[in-house]
Amino acid sequence: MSTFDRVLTAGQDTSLASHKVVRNTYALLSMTLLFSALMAGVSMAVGISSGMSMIASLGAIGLIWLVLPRTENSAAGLAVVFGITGLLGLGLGPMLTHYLAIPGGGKLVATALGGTGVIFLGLSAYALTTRRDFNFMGGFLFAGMIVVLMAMVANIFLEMPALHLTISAVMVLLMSALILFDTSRIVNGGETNYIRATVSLYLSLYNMFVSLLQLLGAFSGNND
Amino acid sequence: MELWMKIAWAAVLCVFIVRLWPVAKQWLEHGPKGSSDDWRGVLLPIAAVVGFVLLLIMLVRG
Repeated sequence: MSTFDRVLTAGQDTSLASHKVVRNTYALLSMTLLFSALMAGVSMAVGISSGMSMIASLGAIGLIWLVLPRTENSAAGLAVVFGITGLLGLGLGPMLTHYLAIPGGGKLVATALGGTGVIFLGLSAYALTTRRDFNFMGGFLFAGMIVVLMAMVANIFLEMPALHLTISAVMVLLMSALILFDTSRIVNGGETNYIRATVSLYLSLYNMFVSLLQLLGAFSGNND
Repeated sequence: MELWMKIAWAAVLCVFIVRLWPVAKQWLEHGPKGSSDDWRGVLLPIAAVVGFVLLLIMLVRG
């Protein structure tokens, strides 16, 4: 086999591997989103309290930090992904119940959900078709996340509506950029673990949905 | 939100910041730098997202 043939074969192998990661990631992401929606429905039907919602979200964070890194290369990682997304879905219950109770709340939730879907599909299509490498955004994105997290900590105690709105708007933009970043890493071979890729994309979608819902809720004029 | 919940959330977010800090530092110091053309390739879809979100806001206001 000539050097040219070997280079060509290696290139095809990398491309096939990244195609497999893309396929597995989107398949797992679809299933986890459905499961998460189901758990959010259960949470609303049962009417869990905001304290329980917080405990569920903290449980998901614990799984992401402590369990996922140890299981992401095994089949057990799949159960952990469903655990994370199920708990986050459960945690959404009280928030969805609050928005659905206000006038026009159903339209608001549906608009946020549809909007998140359209943004995700559009950005994914852009990253998949252009195959651009968005790795250069890494430093900007992580620094941006730190600034937003600091603002969130401050606003827990300050409770300023204008800052809350700004955080939500910046979060939508950051999550959009993260979707481009994550998708480009999957396509260009920077991310080879579909379990990690799924959790990363799921978290971007989750945060975008929550931020968009808060943003639309604030501008609709019905959110007290 | 009750005070214990506020303190718990703030503590979790602070742990997030502490965990993200070295990652951000690593990316800022050693990550690839983008050219102006690279950034233009990001601004286009992000501008589309901004436009779309404004459209959604007008939709819920109307």
